[in-house]
Amino acid sequence: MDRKGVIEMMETFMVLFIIFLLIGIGMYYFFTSSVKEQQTTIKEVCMLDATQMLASVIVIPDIQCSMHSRLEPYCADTAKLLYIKDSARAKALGELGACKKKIVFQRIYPKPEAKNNGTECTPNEPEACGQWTIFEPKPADIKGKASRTMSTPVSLYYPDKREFGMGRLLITTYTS
Amino acid sequence: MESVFKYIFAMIAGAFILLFFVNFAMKYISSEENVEAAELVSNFDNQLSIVSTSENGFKEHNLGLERDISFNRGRIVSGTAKKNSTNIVYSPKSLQGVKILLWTKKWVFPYAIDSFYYMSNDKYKYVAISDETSQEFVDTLVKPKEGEISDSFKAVSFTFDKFQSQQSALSRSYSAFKKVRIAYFSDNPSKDTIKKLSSSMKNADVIVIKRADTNDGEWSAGTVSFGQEEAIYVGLPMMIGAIFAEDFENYDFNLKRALGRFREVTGLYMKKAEFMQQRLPSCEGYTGSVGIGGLLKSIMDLGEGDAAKYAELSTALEESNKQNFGADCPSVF
Repeated sequence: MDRKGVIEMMETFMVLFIIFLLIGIGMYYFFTSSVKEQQTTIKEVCMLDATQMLASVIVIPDIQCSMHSRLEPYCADTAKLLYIKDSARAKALGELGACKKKIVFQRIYPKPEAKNNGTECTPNEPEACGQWTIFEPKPADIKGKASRTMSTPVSLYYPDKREFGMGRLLITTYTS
Repeated sequence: MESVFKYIFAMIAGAFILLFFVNFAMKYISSEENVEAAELVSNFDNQLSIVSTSENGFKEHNLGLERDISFNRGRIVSGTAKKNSTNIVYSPKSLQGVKILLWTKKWVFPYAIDSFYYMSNDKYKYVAISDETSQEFVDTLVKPKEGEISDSFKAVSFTFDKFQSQQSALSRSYSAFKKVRIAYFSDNPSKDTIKKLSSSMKNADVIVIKRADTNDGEWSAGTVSFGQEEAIYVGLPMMIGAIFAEDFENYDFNLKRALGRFREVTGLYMKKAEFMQQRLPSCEGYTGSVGIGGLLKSIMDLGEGDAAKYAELSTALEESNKQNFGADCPSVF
């Protein structure tokens, strides 16, 4: 092969190399933006899940108040809340949708004493407490993930005291 | 000559690059379709939970484009995407189309247990057939605007005699449906009637619904037969589920899942009854063999065999909850 031919061959390979390099760079940015877009979609879906759950959790028979077989809207029965934690239903709720969630009912009125604010209500201690955790993801599952909390006011029914109170339902979502 | 080789080389290289981009675009389109299918499948439970906020909610779910979704024993499949749903869904095995009719009904027996979901589309027809033992009930079940079954499914009812007299016309007008589910309601289902219904049209699929022998004489519990196989139903929403279920295997799968949920909620009420007794010792009737706790334990221990027993215990529980508790001693449910 003469010298001119070698140079022309090298030119051609250079052009091809640059074309593939440009394609490679283009694809890298394309996939990077795709992954980012997907992560944003997951976050949005997750927030949407949480918003929907704020309305749907309160109508689950394992939580909703009922009096003489009549269901009360937007009302949680605190006697049921004491026992639902760790049930199959609670697990299904926490794992529903695109991301892990923590679901908590909090007392607002009558206001719990400051020292009891974060105390968990249990069958042995149903009064000197401030919250009922329905589901909490394992720490390993949410390690390094960003959390965001949404809430809605609910009515809390204390059947053992024949009283109603005010509370709120908090749903914390965990996303990468 | 040299330049000819150059052009050939450029054409081959260009063709490879073009092929690469075409292949990439095809793969991208296919992966986008898979992502959409995955989104549809993974968001499915959320769509159900939106509808479940209503006790008797209906939604026409638009899928955007023609899709084939399969529901089989709690598993949803669309394209390459698969997911197990924890919800109790009564539906044909395969729904093809752009729209899904989605309806929910709360299962209360005698306390709220869960929401049942019914799905179908315009390719399926539902026909209820009554005889003299069931006519009154079937008229309330399938009644425009006031019936128990949502009007959106366009279910129709006939007495067997009327159905027979219109059979050829009905067979012609229902021939375009993928399946015509015929639910035959009777206390004494006759084999001859079942045979005639099965052969009435080529796409007919007959189930037989029989009421349990209970004191109140209601249709709230009984048995449902899919050919040779039979299972119980407990409550009207479950009976309606049998009408929408693809086959015995799917109905039985949902029955087991529903009874599992029933035991879970009953267990919760048993714990609540014990808690109430501890907190309100002056109130009677929360626990003990004669209290509501005893009835809850009895109904929880029932298996899948006796629909009449479920109905009796459900009535007893409802009465106990109403009569034993009032302002000072709140009801359990």
